[in-house]
Amino acid sequence: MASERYSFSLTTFSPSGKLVQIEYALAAVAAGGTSVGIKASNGVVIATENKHKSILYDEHSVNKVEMITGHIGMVYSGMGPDYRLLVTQARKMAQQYYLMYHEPIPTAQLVQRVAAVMQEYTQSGGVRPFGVSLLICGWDEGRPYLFQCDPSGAYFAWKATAMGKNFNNGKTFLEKRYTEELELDDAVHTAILTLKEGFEGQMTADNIEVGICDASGFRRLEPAHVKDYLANIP
Amino acid sequence: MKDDEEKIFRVSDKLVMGVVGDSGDTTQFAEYIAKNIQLYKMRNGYELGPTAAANFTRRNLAEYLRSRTPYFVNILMGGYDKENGPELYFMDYLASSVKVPFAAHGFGGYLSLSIMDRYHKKDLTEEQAYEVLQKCVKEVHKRLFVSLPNFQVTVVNRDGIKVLPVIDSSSSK
Repeated sequence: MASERYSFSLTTFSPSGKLVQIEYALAAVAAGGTSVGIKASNGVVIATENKHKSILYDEHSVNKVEMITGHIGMVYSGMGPDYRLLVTQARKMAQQYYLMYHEPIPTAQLVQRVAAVMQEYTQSGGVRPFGVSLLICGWDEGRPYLFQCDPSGAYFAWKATAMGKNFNNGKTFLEKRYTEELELDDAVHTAILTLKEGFEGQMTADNIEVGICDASGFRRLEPAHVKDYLANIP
Repeated sequence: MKDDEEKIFRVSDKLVMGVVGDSGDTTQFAEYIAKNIQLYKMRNGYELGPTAAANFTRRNLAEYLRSRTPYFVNILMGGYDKENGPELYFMDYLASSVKVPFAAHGFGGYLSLSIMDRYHKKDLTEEQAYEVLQKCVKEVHKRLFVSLPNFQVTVVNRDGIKVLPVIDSSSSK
């Protein structure tokens, strides 16, 4: 791996005090497929567009919405391959925690650990920052959590947010639509509506992915289930 | 010779650990676990519950067991969990761990276990539990082939850790 040969970091400060590589990574995220997350009173929903470049694509073989543990799920905007690595590492970290303490990893702790990995790649030799922003949703101690992890290693807790293409419009849309009393079903509806705002072309159950997390754990919704929600969208 | 050795260590606000075994190992291991539990609290802003702490302790025992420097210690860990109430864990030097309603380590345990089996009930009050302990110590003083004069008593409940009066040879008179 290049990081074995390079002893110096490729992410260095510009005169203005910015880490340009991280800015560029954020640009890669902003160019990626839109994803949204909404925290409801009784759960969390995460959703993303999963458009395929050709009709020959085998839909649903590879997923963007992934389960990390029984009670934590994740989605991204940005570069798929970078995301895969973080999913694998997150899963391993969650199991290591369980091995040590015999209790499911609290969502906030998993986020901290993943964010620490992302930060390492901005300060280690011969590597570049991850070109993804993650949305991590979880349920523990009887309440829902929604976190965003950025390429810089910064993490934020959100009530609702959007990432990727048109994220500004998405966030504005959510600011208007979000209420504290939102229930999971309404939140899924709102999430899909938010995705629809910037969606090019016809939205179907096969070109979006939805995941929900509540007291009974995390699961990715079946296309048939997503179809039911889409039927209620004008 | 010392007859007032402190063998019950404060691990966190609602968790205590009684450690017996090779001298040196006991203090070293107990302090190592206690400080790591505190480190978790510093890092994450909340304390580990008794189940997680017991598992953490057992995992350390297990990993050191098959190293060049195993810890030859036997442990009783007691804690109070907000959701699950009071919990007691029995751990030994072979890294076994089991949640139990009552437990004992050492030769005195052979006598005490029978007493506790006879008198223990699920809904004992603190006073009743102390009396059961007094019965155990009385038996140890009467029938054990070694002299163990004093027994330190510590309680953990929803209000935290409290030290009760030492049970000594006067309690059976």
